[in-house]
Amino acid sequence: MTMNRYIIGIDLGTTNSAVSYVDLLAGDTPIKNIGIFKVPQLTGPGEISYLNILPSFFYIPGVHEFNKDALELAWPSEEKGFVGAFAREQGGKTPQRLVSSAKSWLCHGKVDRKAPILPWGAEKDLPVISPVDVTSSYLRHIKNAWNHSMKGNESFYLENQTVIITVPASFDEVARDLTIESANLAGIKEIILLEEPISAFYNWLIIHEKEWDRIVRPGDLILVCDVGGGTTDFTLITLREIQGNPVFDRIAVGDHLILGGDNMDIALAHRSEMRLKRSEKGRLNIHRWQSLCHQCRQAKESILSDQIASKVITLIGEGRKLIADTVSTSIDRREVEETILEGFFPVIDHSDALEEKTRPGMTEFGLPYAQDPAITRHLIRFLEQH
Amino acid sequence: MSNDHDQKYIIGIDLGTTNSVVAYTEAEINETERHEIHIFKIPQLVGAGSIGKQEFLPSFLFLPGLHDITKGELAVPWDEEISLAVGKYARDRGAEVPQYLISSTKSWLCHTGVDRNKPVLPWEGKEEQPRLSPVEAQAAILKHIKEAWNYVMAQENDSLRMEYQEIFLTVPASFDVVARNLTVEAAERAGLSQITLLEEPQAAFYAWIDASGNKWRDNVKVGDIILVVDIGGGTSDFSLIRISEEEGKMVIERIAVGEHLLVGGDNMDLTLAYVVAGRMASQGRKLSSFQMRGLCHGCRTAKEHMLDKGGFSHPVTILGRGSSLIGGTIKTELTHKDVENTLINGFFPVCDSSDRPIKQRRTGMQELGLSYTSDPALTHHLAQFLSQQEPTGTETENNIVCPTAVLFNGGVMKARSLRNRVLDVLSSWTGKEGKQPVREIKKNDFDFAVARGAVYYGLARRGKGIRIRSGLAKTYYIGVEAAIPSVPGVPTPIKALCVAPFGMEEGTEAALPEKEFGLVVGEPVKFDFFGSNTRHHDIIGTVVDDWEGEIEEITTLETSLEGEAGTIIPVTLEVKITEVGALEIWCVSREDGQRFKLEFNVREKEAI
Repeated sequence: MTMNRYIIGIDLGTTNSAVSYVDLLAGDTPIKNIGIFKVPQLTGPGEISYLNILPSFFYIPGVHEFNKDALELAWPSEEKGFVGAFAREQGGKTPQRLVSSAKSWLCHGKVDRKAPILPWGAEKDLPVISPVDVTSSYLRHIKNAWNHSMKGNESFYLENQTVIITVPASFDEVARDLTIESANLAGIKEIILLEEPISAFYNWLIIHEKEWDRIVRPGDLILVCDVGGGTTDFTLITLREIQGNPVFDRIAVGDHLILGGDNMDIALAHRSEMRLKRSEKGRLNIHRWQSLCHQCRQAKESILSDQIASKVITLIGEGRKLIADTVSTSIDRREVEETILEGFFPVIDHSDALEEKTRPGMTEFGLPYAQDPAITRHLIRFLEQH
Repeated sequence: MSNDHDQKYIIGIDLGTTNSVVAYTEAEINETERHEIHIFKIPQLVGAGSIGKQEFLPSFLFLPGLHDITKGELAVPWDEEISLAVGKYARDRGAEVPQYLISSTKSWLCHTGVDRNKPVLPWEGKEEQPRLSPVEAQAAILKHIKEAWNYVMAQENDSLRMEYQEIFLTVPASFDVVARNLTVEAAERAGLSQITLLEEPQAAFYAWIDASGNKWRDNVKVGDIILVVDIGGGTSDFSLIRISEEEGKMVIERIAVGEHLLVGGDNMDLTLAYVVAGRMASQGRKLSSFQMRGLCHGCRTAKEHMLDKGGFSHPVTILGRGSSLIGGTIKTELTHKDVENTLINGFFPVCDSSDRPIKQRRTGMQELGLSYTSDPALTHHLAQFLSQQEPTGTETENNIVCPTAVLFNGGVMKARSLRNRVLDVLSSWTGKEGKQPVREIKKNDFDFAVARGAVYYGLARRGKGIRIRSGLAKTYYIGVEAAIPSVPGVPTPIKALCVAPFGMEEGTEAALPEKEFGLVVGEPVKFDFFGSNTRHHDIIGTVVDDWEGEIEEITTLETSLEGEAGTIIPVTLEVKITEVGALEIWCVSREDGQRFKLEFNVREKEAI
């Protein structure tokens, strides 16, 4: 383990995972050569693509759902299911076979995380898997993909490099241990855990390598506001100077909030549904609803990254009413911004932040989703507590 | 009840909206002897300073201010200092000063719009005058009954005190669990901690069995579906009783109970009052709201008299008020024609079996605080009730259940003309299918049947009579918040989890060990309780996502359960229906077995 050629960073996200690496033998300043490892994954039956992200979804197919070779990867797999973009897509059609948000389950203190409980609420005869095993499966996929790209050179295999896996700062000891255990199960014996906000901050430091010390000074309080696909984390970092060297300390960590981009997609889908309802009778069925959410996510991503200004959403009719039931609407930038800014980031008066409505005492037992979608309100509470 | 055998008497209390009746019998009798059920004549104030014994205790409370009565005016033998009156004098004196009168306590007890533990009665009473909560008012009536009994029956022998006897208290079949629990609470406040609840229509049926002696079996046959039409002072109840056979024995089963209808004799009185007031208005005399109340009480007396004893008209007197413009006392009358037209065509109109209650703006009694059923036409409600039932094999093409016989109960139904109208309407529905006309199960006693029936039930429970099989008359649900991501502007959906199925019997328990729910502890939370009269097939654990029109909100409990703030404990559910008929829901923590009881009747929905 003394001279590893690669340092590999794995962001094991709630909805998306990503892998980056640096080749320590490539040039004098390897830090400039940090690359993203494109993860080969199924994107359709028998179709493999190399993508920057590996969607953190695990699909457990039925026995006769696919031809055997349709799910084949470049490496042999013993898994119960498959992961990545096609898992997410297929799960949209058959949600009862899809495991999502495994990471949130991994830090759910009220369930047995080594027991096969996912997909949560699955009907009796459907296969289930534990949160630890799912996490392990994502890591194994990443390991196998990496190793496959090393073309048989074992010394470059992932398990023989320095592997850093990021975890939310709010992960407690148990969740951290379970992350390590998942890695071990995937055959990655040694890993280093790094807290996500610190990692994000390092990234900022690299980008501002020349001028960072002009932007932040010792004693500054830096809020890291990490809103991911499924979760939101707040962290306070401060900069100290020890013998002329800067040291970053994490001084406060907020609750792990199950609130993120997924909620925004659903919010957009609700608004679109209202418009569609004029032509559509009653509620959308699960397939059309999933399709609507999916298209809303694509619209949100494309619009917010300035690729397009608006997007048409179309729900294709089903069966005999293919034409008659096909409806469409469109989402534009104004609507996306309004939905997200006003719904999730409302300007809040300090005094009404703590006003809480009485919540129902009985809930379905599942993931402890954040009750209040207003991220700004959670932020005020976090800042008031610290 | 461990001391069954120490109890000398079985007591049945019919706690009516307008009149209460107490019946009793000796619990232990010789095998060869036939039991005898007596009506307890209740001592009460019948005039200022004058005590009399009556079979009825009018369910009225007179609650004057301290300076409005002379000393000793309200004294009863067991309490010289008492500051309120219950019974006849309360009703008569209260009619003159309605601001001090509490009436229809029972209707208030099942009024979901008010906090029934808050002193709101007399409704619209002034801040400074004494007021009682609906529960306290009901307790005051029960306390009078208890004290009166103890004064008459137990002066010599303490063991004969009412609280040591076996007591059955009747409630409308349509009383939901909240109203039932509040009734139990009122009894406890009155010092009657051991009572058993019984549904009034069942009590009426028991009374009929008892009155028929050994002949009751000759008057019903296997396959009969008996409709019990029970129209009380404030509520109307429909129940269905099926006669079937098991292993050669006749089985009586209460198979359905209708919705709680807040319409009864009180509404009829008010309607009659409006008729009289309207006639007076056309003569240029306008009544104040104070006089209107007096008129209402006057009409009740007139109606009772005419329905009971006949006659073409009955005088109604309305007191004037001081030196008002109208001044002096007004004398008018209510005619037999008024009563027939108003009551028969207003409350029992001829209609088709496909007719349904008309939802209209609420009027009438609303001004007295109680919210009444918007359509007073009981035949419309009857058509709806019969159309909502499970198939029994007696349906018409319109898919209504056709009863084969009707048992009437409640003072209003003493009027033959009203009974005949109901029978005619029912027969018109079933007759279209070539079925026999619906027959009336004859009985003579409309006033004491419920109290007597309650006593008979007590005997039946001791193996000395036949019992009606029954269970919960509604399916009960608790609101469960869906675990889904939150979205701005879209409230998290609440699902209805069935916790107690229709037909669940008293004294039984059920559990749902395989399903886990999250119980929010350590912060203020609310629990929504729902009920359904129509979803008979849901079992414990059934989750209903979309229940529009089928499940109704009953009450909301706001509380805070002990535990670390912000935690959600995985729990399983256990449900129990006590012997008394109260529903208990327990949440049991999977982690440490800690048990949380969800009380049904702690607090109510916000007041109107």
